[in-house]
Amino acid sequence: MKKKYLFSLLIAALLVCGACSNVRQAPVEERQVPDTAAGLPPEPAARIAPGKPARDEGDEQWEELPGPGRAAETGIPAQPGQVSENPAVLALLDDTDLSISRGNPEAAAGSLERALRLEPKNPWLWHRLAVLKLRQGNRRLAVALAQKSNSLAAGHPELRRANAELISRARKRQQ
Amino acid sequence: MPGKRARGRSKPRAGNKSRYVHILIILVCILAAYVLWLDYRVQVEFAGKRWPLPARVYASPGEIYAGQAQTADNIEKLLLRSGYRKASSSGQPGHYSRTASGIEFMQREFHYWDGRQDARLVRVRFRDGKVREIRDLSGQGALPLARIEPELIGRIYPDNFEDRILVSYDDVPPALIRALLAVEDRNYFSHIGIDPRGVLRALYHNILKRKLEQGGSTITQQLVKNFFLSPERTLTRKINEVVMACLLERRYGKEEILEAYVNEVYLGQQGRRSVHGFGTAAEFYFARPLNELRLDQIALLAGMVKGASRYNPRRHAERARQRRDLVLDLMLRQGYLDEPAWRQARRQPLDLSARPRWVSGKHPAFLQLVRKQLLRDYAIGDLRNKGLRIFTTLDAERQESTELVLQRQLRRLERAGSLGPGTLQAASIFVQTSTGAVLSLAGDRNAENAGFNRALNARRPIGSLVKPFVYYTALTDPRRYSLVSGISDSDISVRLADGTFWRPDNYDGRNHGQVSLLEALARSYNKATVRLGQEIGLEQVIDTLYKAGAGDHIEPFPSLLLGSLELTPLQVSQLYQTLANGGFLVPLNSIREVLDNTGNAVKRYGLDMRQALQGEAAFLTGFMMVQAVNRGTGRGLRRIIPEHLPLAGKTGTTNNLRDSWFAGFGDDITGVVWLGRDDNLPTRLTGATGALQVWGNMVKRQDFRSIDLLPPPGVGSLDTVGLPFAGACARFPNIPYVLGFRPRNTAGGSCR
Repeated sequence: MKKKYLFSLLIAALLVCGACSNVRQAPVEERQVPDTAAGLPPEPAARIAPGKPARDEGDEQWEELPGPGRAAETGIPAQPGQVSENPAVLALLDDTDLSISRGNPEAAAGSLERALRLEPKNPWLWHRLAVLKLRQGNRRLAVALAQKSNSLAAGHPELRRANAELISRARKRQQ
Repeated sequence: MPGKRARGRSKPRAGNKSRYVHILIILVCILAAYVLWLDYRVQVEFAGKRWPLPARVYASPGEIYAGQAQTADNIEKLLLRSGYRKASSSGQPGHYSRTASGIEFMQREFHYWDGRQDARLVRVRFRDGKVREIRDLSGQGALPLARIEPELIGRIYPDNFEDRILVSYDDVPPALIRALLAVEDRNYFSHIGIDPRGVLRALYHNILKRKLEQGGSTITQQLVKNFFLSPERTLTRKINEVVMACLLERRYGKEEILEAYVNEVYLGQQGRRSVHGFGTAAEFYFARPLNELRLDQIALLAGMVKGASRYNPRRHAERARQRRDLVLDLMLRQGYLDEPAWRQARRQPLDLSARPRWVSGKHPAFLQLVRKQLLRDYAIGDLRNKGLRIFTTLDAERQESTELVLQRQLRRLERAGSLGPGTLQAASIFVQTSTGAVLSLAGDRNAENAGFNRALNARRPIGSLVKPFVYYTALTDPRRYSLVSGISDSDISVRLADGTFWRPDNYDGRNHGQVSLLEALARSYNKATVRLGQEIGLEQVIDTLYKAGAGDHIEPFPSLLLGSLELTPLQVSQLYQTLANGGFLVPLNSIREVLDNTGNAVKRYGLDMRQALQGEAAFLTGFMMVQAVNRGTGRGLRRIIPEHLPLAGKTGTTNNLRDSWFAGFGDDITGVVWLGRDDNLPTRLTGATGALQVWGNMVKRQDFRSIDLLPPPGVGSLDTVGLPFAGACARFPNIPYVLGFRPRNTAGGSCR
């Protein structure tokens, strides 16, 4: 009888142990609990809270990409072969267009900057970046980039006109 | 039940027993609570276990594109830098081979900011020193451009200096799992966390030896020991270990536990840095990712689990090899290997990579800049713990060559100047002018020295490096000044705020009379410069310096005009970047993108820029600096790098030869070199005999294009040969001027 009593106690204790074992999820502590158990990457980056932005990005928020009404801002059309003869640069410009059409202006800017690292004196590339920044709503930077394009566009009056137009447009919007 | 109890109480003997029962109940409850508590710990600590992962910092990836001036040797260098190995055929990721017409390499999978690059076989062919064709032989055909995975240049460590590259279970090579089973825990996939046979064996052994010497620990137990328990060997700890191992097995799957084990286990030490996990160890010992290791290399690492320092293959090569062979033997015996594979693996040499000579990074000075810029956006804890991947602007090739030149040149200058070895110190910075990207940075003559970073932190008077900004300021008023405007280089005294007078001298102690601005800057005349500065006003010059990025508060002392202003080499680089870039200031930057440790983009640091100085005047100033190199204070460069001329340059020397500066730029590269002494005693070097020499030799070994002297819009060009200007006859075929302000004859008279 006492044996039984003891035994039932043991069983009870084990049951208590076992009961909590059914919960596979770990209790939440102060630390964030990752989606799965150990060994997996610690935490998605989105949770890393950046402090203040590194640079003065002005009023840079992604604006919607232009609808048909803003088609004038896609930059002036260049003759084939006029922008660059470098197939790498042309490929990066294709990437840029693709990213824009997919609604990812930041990727587009990344491709343009990569192209600029290869051809830093190419005024067309600076112009494209200016157009993109204007669309992204960063007017201050758009103006500076168009000015930069201008400074390299001595032999391209049509490009200088486009830059001038972009600058005046950006300044108008700034007011 | 109440009846039973009542009866129990009525009998004294039974009462005694009942007390025992009660004690037993309490004991069982305590035990149960204890087990519950252990169970709680296991869950919380295992599930919540997140290893602190160091941030990993990468150099800029090498870009190859069709038409690029490039050689197979160069690409081979890039590949070696990124940890590729030469092989007879390049079928394995991370291998390359040279062919008659070019080079072939199997790229590794790699996550860039703009997406993943899959593993692929790439062939590059050359013609006439150019890339003729890049082809993806794995299927995509001709490629317009290709990136080579960037070199890992450093890490930002967690506080405990643990280094770890996480590997997920799917990426663990099957051979490693087999090796671990063979040598550490052959029943792993069937036991319940403990292996009673193993325990018995260990107990028997320990009783025999009367010491707690051997552990029949399973992999699970070893993991528990590392995760939850202190390292001492006591019976309580052993009991805890056994209980927790069972609990762990009950709650988590075999694969999860093994994955944690593979990432946790300690496999080496270098200084304060400890090496944890097989992913890290693969890189540490073989400089390759885990999934590229050969069987014998895997066996070597598996054998090290037993004692990472005892079987350290770098220190005890023979012992480590024996251990490796033992692991291979066990694998063979347990049927994990066939005999040919076993025989081949045993024949392999250890094949270790060169011992990593760096603890936290290869180029600590540059990493300090990266860290400083990162800390504006991230908390230090995030940098150290979250395994961020940081893509920087560093051009590893340039960086290494500047480090080398710095060391050599400083030794040479010390010998030539009878200075004791190690007297001189130095800093240098090279940037891409148009993007402000820092390509190389040195903050100490010894590149491995991670101490005081002079490039970032040494504030020194900049001497004549200020002069171009004085002349620039004058040239922004084209009605009054052109390059051929006259200025008198004669005695001048400036009344200071305290009523005393300042009478600057020329370096050569002579007066040069009426000279053109061009002449005055090219030859760095002090008196003419002070006179010009007085004419245009100190405040105007200070305004220019602020705009160009000088940053700090500048006191309006007249001596500022000769460079009493103290700036860091980094700040000077910013000033010259602005000037060289046609007046467009691009904040100097070292980081392009930040990714999390799964390859997702966290942040891209886009190009920023503003028009800080006037383009026309900036161009004219650059032109004057070209003349300084052609025929002025910078002409020493003509001997060192004639092939890179024309380029713009300016020397700087401070009082008593304490600081020796040189700043210069070509088509798209701007560089600044500073030499001096930490005790601020004279170096016996001028800008021309010191920093210029170093700068020239650095540029000599770099990809550096001459400056483009094509005037930008708004600037015209005037042939002044034979025309009298500023008291002398001009000798320049083409003098740029601001359109609408054509220089007029200022001297009167005519030329003979």
